[in-house]
Amino acid sequence: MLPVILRLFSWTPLLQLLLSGAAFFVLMVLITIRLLYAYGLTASLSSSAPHLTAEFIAGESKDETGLAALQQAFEQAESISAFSPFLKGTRTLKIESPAYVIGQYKFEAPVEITGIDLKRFPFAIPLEQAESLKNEALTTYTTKELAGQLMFSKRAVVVNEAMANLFAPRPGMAGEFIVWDRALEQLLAEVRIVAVLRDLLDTPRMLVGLPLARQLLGKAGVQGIHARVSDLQTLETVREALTRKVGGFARISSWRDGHHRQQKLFRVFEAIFWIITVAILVLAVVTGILGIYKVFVTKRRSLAILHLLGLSKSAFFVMLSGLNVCILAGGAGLAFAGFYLLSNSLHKQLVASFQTVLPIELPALEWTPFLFWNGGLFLTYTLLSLGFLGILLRAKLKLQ
Amino acid sequence: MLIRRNLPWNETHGYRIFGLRVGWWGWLCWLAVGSTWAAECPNISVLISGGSFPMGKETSVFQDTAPVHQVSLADFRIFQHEVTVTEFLAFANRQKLEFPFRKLLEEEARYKPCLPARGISWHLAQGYCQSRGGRLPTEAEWEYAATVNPRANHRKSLWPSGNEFPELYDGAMLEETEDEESEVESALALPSSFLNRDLVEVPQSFLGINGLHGMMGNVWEWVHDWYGPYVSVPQTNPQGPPEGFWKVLRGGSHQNVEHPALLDPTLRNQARPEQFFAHVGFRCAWSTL
Repeated sequence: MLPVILRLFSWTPLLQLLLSGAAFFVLMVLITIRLLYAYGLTASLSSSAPHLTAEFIAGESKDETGLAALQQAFEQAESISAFSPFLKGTRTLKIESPAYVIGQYKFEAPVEITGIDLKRFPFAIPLEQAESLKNEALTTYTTKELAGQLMFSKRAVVVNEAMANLFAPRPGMAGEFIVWDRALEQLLAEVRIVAVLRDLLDTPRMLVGLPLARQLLGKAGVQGIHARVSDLQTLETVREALTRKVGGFARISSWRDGHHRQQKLFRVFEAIFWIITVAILVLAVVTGILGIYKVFVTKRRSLAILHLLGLSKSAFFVMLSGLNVCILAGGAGLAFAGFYLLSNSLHKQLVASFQTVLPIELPALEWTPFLFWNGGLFLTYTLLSLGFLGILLRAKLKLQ
Repeated sequence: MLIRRNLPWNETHGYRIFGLRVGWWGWLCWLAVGSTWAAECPNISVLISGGSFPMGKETSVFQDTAPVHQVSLADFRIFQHEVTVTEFLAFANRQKLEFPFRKLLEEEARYKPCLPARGISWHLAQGYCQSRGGRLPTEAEWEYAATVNPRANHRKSLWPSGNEFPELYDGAMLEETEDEESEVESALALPSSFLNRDLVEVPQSFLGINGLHGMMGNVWEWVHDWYGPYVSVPQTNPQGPPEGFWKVLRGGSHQNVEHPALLDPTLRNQARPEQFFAHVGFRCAWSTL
């Protein structure tokens, strides 16, 4: 009986089934690419930036009541993992290293200074993304020690890579620096750079405690609250809830607002992706179904012989569905293997192309969504084919 | 002579034991004997009787020490001090281990063999303890050993020193002398009843309750548990979350002595188990069952 069954699939229908398997494979690759893009954009862009910012509409404020109301709203909001009152500004600074001859190591540039309230840990800007510099004992700090440095030492600051690259008398080492206002030639503060935050921005940034930020910027009060959410999928929901609560006196924005152009690009990519995906899905399903149908049309005689030999409908179903599932599983297996082998290089290339225009970092790839997406698709596709096979068997097996 | 009165190590091994002032030859002889003793610096395990204690702290800088929850522990044994460079290098040589801080440790082992082994990842630390038939102490065991004295009604103290933060060691506290010999003697006689700003050999590291050295300062210590939030329900011999991203570090290091909040024995520092830090070491523990 086995040679008869094998002969049954020796011609066109088998090729069509293989084609449907190949289409399924292409479909999975497309989904992989889409997921990689999605991760490259959603997970990484936010890794060193606050997800949500609530800013007082009236501007910088010393109003304790307003701040308390804002803090309370964030405390009660769901999915907020950290929040810190902040003060932000840009000032053209002249920074000198006292360990060198005055003027030898000098840095002059507009620096974006972000001061955050360090009383509450974790901070809205994740220190775990920062790389500790070596101290005098040639030791780097752990994340909590870094936090301790910022909390207890009034001079400790974290800078971004752009600033560290421009001003690094001793690369990789923490150091003391004197900060002046460039225009006024006024001494502002003495700081100690303890860590570098890899945010991939071109502009020099300095992350400091609130009192030091006030000293450096010559301001008082705070501008609002920076916050991070634990689940990025809930970002817009949290934002809406907060806007309802504090919208009267504060404006809530998310990190995505700052990347409209990139978001637009991503939406174009999404639209193209879905058009291609749907087209391939339709092609795959039609080819698959056609293949199964053709088995019955062209091989009706062989099926009839098998039937006469005593093969039941259920046995037919098991055989044909087994073959169908094997082809689909083969396609899925190939997709998984391809994903496993190519994910790193593909992922890196995709993110690298974005990194040329965007401040994003390379995130760790998560496998769970890939498994769920493709597992779900595999299941749907299999059930659909089996359903159709069942219908055909019922309708066409009245053989002579 | 405030220090001298608190120097059991010096009194036991010092060359002024008979009140005699010896010359260079005497000094060299003493140094040879002292070095031999120091090279060994045997790490005995101390039996800690089990019991129940409130683990954690409601208010702390990092807020992850709450909620305070009741923990019951069985008896266990724990090393009196951190594993030393000599001990760890012997293991590393046996296992032919290569790790980033190996050269530094080899250098230190030549001059100060009793310094705590540092720059050791969690995996290496666990491997060492397993080779000794033990394991890293759990977070609960570590906190219990550092703060609870089973012989004093299982009362929990704020610090391994009791309820007072220990005094910081200051070189100026030693007797000022123009005599070179006395100067050397003073330098060797670092007291273990003071916290030190520098990395010191394990017998000189801070001696706390339960006769354990270095439970605050000197180097952070890896513990067995993954980092995760505390639960409020009472627990018996907790092992921490089954999985996680960070492993817990306890005890603070010599770099943190200026900030008592970072030397809080309830403070939970964290690092990836594969990370190497020059101020992180470990000690081993054993269940007694």
